Amino acid sequence: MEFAIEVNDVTKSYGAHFTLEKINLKVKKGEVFALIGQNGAGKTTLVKLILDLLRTTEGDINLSGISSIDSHSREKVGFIPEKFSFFSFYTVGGVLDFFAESRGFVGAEKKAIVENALKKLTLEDIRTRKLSTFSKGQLQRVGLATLLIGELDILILDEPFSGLDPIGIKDLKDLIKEFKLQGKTVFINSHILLEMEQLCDSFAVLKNGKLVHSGSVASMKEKHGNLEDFFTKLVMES
Amino acid sequence: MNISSLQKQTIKAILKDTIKKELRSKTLIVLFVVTSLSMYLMYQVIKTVGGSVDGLPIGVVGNLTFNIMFWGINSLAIIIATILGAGSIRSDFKEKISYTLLTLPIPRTAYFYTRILGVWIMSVAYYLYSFVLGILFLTYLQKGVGGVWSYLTALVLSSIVIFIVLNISSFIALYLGQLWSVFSTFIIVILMSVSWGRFSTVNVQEAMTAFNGFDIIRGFFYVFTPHISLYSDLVSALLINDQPMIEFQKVNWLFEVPHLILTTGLMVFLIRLALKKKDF
Repeated sequence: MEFAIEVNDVTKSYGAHFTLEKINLKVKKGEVFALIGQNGAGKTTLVKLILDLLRTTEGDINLSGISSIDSHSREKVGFIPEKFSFFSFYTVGGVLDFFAESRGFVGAEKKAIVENALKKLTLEDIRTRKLSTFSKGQLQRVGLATLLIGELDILILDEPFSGLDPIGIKDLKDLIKEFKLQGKTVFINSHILLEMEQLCDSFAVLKNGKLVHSGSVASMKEKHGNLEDFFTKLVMES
Repeated sequence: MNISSLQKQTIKAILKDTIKKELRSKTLIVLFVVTSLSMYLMYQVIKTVGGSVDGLPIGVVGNLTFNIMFWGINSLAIIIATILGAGSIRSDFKEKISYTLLTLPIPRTAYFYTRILGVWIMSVAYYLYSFVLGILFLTYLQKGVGGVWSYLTALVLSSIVIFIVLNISSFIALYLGQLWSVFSTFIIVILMSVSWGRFSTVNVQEAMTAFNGFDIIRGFFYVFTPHISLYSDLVSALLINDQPMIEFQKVNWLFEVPHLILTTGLMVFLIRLALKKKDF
């Protein structure tokens, strides 16, 4: 079995305080995976560790079989943080040009790929607008558009629904479904359980820095009905 | 470090982004405007009254005035490098763009040095612009340009100083806010300068006789940090001294060149080590 993301015995501590303790997680290639947990459970820490923004205290992480501390592991990885930001003097087109160039596209190829991303996220009409004039939801759409630039295999989305309006949420859900059809692995860190239940193949629950559950959505539904009830039960348990 | 062609493209895109960003830097814009205006003003003043100053020929007065102007610009090198270096890295953190950039497929060191390279290019471009502008005005004044090689040598030496100071200020900016980074860099640069002043002109025996507690710190900085004061002094000699070669001959280059290479290498090594361990 090939895994897109492997988290092996990962611990992250600051002095005596453990933020994450002995986390083991495997995300299969081509699946949509949700990482859920309460505020402060350690979800963002785990995302940062996967992306090598933080270094593990113990354990290791692999992306498509390459250690996360090797920058080559991110060559096919796209990431959007909870609040996508880029320099405010950039226009939407400028941001997408930057991502296209950074992913190796030049000339006509770059133009075509940027046009496609603008069209897909209905950003064509505001392509020359500066980011400084954008709302959080619009910025998030720009962030999502960056995921359409290049041949990415793993997409990591940190609270992607945050700040989106209903149309934006629908577009994002469609996009995630499309990514799945294309065989991409999508790793979502989210609070929105209903959407996660609809979209994801598997999920994991973090509680106080520990992994308390991981498995498929289908088997959870079979045994417990729905994600909301299951999650509430899990976090309420001492 | 094995850099793939994709990583090269990413580095190129970040470099372009840094230059775009710095072109909008208020500090740099103000400097360009102030330098252009003050040079033009000097040109007009010299043109009008230069010929009558102490009975000196207009070309001599013009050359001297512009040399002082260049010296002033070079004295700004450390201040500019400190502010721009700290600002470039800090603004990435302030606007949370560092998350986006650091998750691109490049090593942390490549991100850090691409930012430094971009700021360095812009700072050197500012000096080059000042020199070209000054030489242009001088050409009008005396129908001939003297000391071009001195200006170019000064530019090269200033570029080295800028690179070193940029390393220090950008590195501190990874950990501290912009104001503290600027302040800390100034303190370090002052200590580097003081250590150079203390140990460069005395022999070992003399230094040991009058050794005090503060000399331990100064000695540390003298041994382990690049002698940027030496290069700043040489720039001054080139720009306002009639015989800069004498200043150059005084320097023990057999010691200073390896020292510069080794201490700069040590600085880069320590920065790489810290970046490797840093949590963002």
